[in-house]
Amino acid sequence: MKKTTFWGTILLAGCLTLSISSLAWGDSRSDDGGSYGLWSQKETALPVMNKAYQTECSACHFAYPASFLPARSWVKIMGTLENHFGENAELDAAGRQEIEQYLTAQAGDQAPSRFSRSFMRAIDSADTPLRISETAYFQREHRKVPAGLVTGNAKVRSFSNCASCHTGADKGSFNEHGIVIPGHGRWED
Amino acid sequence: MMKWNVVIALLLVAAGNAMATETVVNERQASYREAGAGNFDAARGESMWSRQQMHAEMGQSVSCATCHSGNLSTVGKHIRTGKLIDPMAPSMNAERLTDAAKIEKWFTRNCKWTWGRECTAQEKGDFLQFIFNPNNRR
Amino acid sequence: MNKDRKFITVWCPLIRSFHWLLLAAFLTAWWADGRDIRIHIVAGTIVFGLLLFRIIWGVVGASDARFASFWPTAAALRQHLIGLLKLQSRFYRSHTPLGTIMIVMLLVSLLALTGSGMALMALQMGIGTFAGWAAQAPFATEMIIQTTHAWSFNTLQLLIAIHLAGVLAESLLQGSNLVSAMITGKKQLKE
Repeated sequence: MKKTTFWGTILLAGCLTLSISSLAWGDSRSDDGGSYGLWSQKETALPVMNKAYQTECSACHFAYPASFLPARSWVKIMGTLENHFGENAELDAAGRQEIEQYLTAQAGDQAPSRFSRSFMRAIDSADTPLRISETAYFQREHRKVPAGLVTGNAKVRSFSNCASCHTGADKGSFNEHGIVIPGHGRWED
Repeated sequence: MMKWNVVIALLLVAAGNAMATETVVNERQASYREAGAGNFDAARGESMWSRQQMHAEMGQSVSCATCHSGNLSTVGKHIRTGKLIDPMAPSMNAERLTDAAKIEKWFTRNCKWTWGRECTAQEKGDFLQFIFNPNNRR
Repeated sequence: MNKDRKFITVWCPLIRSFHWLLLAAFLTAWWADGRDIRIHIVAGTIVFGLLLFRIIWGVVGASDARFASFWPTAAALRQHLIGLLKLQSRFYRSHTPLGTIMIVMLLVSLLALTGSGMALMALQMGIGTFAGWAAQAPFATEMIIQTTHAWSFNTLQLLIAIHLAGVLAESLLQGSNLVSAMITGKKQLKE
């Protein structure tokens, strides 16, 4: 092998090693036994894992991933169920507490997951948003979607109706390859 | 031969569900009687079902029928979200009235939302009578 | 017709490996986006490592790999462009003047793509080189970086299309298969 080829190969290997190893560097806060490391990253938000939440809170609407709101928002929502966005969604005390515990433990500012950091970063610490669809990150991600395809679409009706377009939403998948807008077709960003 | 086995199995399941509904309704109505209710009447339940009452926040009159339809065998539709609601009639929907906790939960929510207060034991018993037994066979 | 073919050796093994590894890693990252973020990140990181290599190699590497060896003057650029418009052929040992411009634009766009990608990874997952910075970064910054990532990708799609057209055109005009040259390292001289 020519000398330049030899040294060139060393250089190439070194550059690749350096860049790959940079993946292991990270925020010291995320260094807690590798649960936030690269290989545990998912394309999806954590799917809903609490049966009570799934049963009680998808009777009327999609069971929203807990990581899309901060814990204080979930506390406020669970504390005002008798007037839940205009509806009465009261629960017995045990059920209410179990669901609140699940939501606050998995909230975006408590247990980071695929989109939680972006959601939380876009929420002012003085705010307690109640609607995911009104947060800055959500609105940014949906900025190119014409209102006519959502609020003006009888099959969707609202931006709160995630599962009508996001075909993998119940598994926590919101990526752009799985969007089919009813009456319109696939949506590729 | 297999086909008949399947038919018999399905009939047993249907019968089982029907028995479960009857058991739960009986148990609920027994508890209402203990709370002071008298005879239960499906016709009374039906007239309450359609009784309109002004809902301030919605800005219109609402009744049970508004979302659940006056015809218990048809699919209902939520007045705000448009979400479709499975028929109330146990004959159309085997899950209806098989879970006492679920019955009480929805009574609490929907009486408060529609009428602004909890339903009385008498009213609940009449409603169950209407939903379960519209012809008032008892 | 069996012409007597004469070949010159131009591209060193490192340049050739770099080119095809880059293509493979880029296509992998493209495919993996939306399908498996981990593969997307690893492929993109490999692209960055390759870029790092190419820049260093372009300064201290084999003679034909050095940027200085094919960097065009303004006159050479003009001459190449006029020649193209007239469909006149001229043999270039190394990258053509316009080809060099394309390479620079590709490298810059890939740097923007991988740099913004690493920043996004830090922002969204808290891992990698920029993780410490990302923990305090505001939302407005994340939006800018996300736009950069998307736009550098759009730019690259366009550049790659032009690059393919350019390689084809030059291959025809120079009478030399430039694709096989990048595989074997040898360019055929037109008789």
